[in-house]
Amino acid sequence: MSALLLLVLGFAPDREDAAIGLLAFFLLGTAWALRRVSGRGTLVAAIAPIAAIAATRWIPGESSAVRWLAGAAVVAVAAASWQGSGQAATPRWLIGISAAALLAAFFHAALPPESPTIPFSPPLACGQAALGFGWLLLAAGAALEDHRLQVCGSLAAAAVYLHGLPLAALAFVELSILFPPPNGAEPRRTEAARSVAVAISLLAVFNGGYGFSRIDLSLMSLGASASSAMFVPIAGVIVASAYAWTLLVARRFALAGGRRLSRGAIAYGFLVLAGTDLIRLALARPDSVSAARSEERLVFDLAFALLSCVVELPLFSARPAPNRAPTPAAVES
Amino acid sequence: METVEKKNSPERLDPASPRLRLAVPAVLAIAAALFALRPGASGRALAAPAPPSPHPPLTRRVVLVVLDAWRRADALDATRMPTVARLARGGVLGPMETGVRTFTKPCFAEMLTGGGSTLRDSLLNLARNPAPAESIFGRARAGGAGMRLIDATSDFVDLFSREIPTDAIVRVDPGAPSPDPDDVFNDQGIESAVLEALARPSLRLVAAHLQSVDHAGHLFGAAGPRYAAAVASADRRVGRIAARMDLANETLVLVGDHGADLSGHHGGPESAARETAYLAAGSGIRARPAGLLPSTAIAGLVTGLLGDCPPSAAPPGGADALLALNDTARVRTASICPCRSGAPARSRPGLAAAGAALVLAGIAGSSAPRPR
Repeated sequence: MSALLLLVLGFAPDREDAAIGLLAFFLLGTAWALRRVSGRGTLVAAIAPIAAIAATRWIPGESSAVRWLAGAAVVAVAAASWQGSGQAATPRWLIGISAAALLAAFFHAALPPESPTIPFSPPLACGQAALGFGWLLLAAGAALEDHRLQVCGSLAAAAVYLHGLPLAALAFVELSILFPPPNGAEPRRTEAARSVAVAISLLAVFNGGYGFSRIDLSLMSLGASASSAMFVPIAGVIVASAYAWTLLVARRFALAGGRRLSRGAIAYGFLVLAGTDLIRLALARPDSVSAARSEERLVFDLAFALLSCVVELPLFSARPAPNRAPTPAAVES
Repeated sequence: METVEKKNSPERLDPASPRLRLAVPAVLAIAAALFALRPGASGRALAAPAPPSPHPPLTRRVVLVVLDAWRRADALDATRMPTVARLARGGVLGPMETGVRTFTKPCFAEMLTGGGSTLRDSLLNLARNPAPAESIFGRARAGGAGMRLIDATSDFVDLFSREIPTDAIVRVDPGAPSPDPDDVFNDQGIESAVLEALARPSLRLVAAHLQSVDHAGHLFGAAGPRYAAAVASADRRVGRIAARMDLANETLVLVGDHGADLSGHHGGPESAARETAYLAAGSGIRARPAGLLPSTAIAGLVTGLLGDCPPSAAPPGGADALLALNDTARVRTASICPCRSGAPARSRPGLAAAGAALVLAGIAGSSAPRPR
């Protein structure tokens, strides 16, 4: 099943469209499963602003209203995730950092962008703080096996990496990690296919995705110093972190609900896609648009295969999220 | 003894071993990357000594201004770029299409050598990657023309340092403060250096790279007011440069290296990233509509104005529609200027076989048993 899906993706005329279709399918499936989880009013509270973001996506230009709504959605989702989450086990300083990270992300999304060449830029400073805090929280959450911390870190970074609909989709994915479907809600055989397909679909929908033209080079401004131009190595790391973060989200999503995912599964998936890229490249006329698209897909697939290996290192491979769905016995009692 | 037995135990070769499952795809990915990006795939090389001049120069000086990420929609809109529209009345303004790789370095290489680009050029966009074919600068230097290249990035140096005299390069600090708030990459410094170069009659080729428009697109998107302000600022800057030129005897060539989409993105073969424009005004330019040009024609345009043969990788006759040449000069150019343009060679069976091997390895890896 996994190989078949990958081959379909690899040879699809437009891989991005196919990936977006797959992601939509899996997100809808997750939503269907979530409905069986009782007492999740927070989900509704979070979906309302997300729907608003989706509705305002078609406002011309990068409207500040979209950014405000995105920030509001991030804070709403985070607040919902903290409610009744047993924070007693989490150190207070980590709670403070997560609040700071979310606030920084919120202000980065809300304030208008400025040139990095001016002496001090509040949006850039907020963005840099949100990224730093976000990744720190991801690592701390993995080390402490605290999924709420990971969600906060992921959302803080997300508010820097993504805007509009992709941010809304990410918030939905994070919610589904917090509230996984009950055990047995999904046939075991489709697990691997689900994880690999979701990883690739996330990349296609989220920041960057496939194609040099889609790399969000505005992220490079976060690597700018106050007095001079961008420092390319740091800027490159920040852009690369957007991709590593997407893969981390995909892996956490795949592991949610107690699923087991063999190490390297996502990396092997990208190898299959890289192989299809080479075959397409051999069939295309040199210097044609088709050849150029195959070339850049090849670069991304190989880079993602390597990044997947890094992401699957033990640091980021905490145990799956506890399934808090009520068991039949609990419901009966 | 026990340790030795443990080392040789079958567990170490278990396909479900976490280390093996991470190491194998990593090694395969690196091997595939090296195979796909191996150097020399283009088969190009620097040319032999330059041929003799095919015709007298058509101008006393060429000022080549590259406006980074000059979107075609902006270029052809007289309300956004009124100065460009005014200059076009005495010259020619038209659409231009780049190759399929639209990062700055591949586009510079294609435009100034007239040849093609490879994936390697895109990947080394931020690194030092000398152009493998001769460029307009090599031709101009062989013809004895004094030149000056002015840039706030290292693009000119990275690509053409083998053909440019060291004292011909002027690097401007991109972080230096500019009085213009819409000048986010110190184009003001570039303009000052160009105006200083125009005061030196010995310089026959002046090339400058304005980057604030591209930078504004990446930072703020190409649909907003900050980008529009950067475009307007660039338009005024071009006007100030043209005002200092003697267009009866000198020539201004303004080109975009590539376009951008409304998010300010470029790099791939998307049409918005390939759509840019050219403006040629002044001595030696035939003022009539020339239609869509490939960016590879610019090399022939500049060398034709200077009276040199185009670089050997440039398409023959690519700029003829723009140059005020008579038929005799055209025939002479075609007869004595060497041309060896062509698509890069690629081993197709090798690519297909490598692809099939990767697919099989990936499927085998995906199907291996999971750890218990």
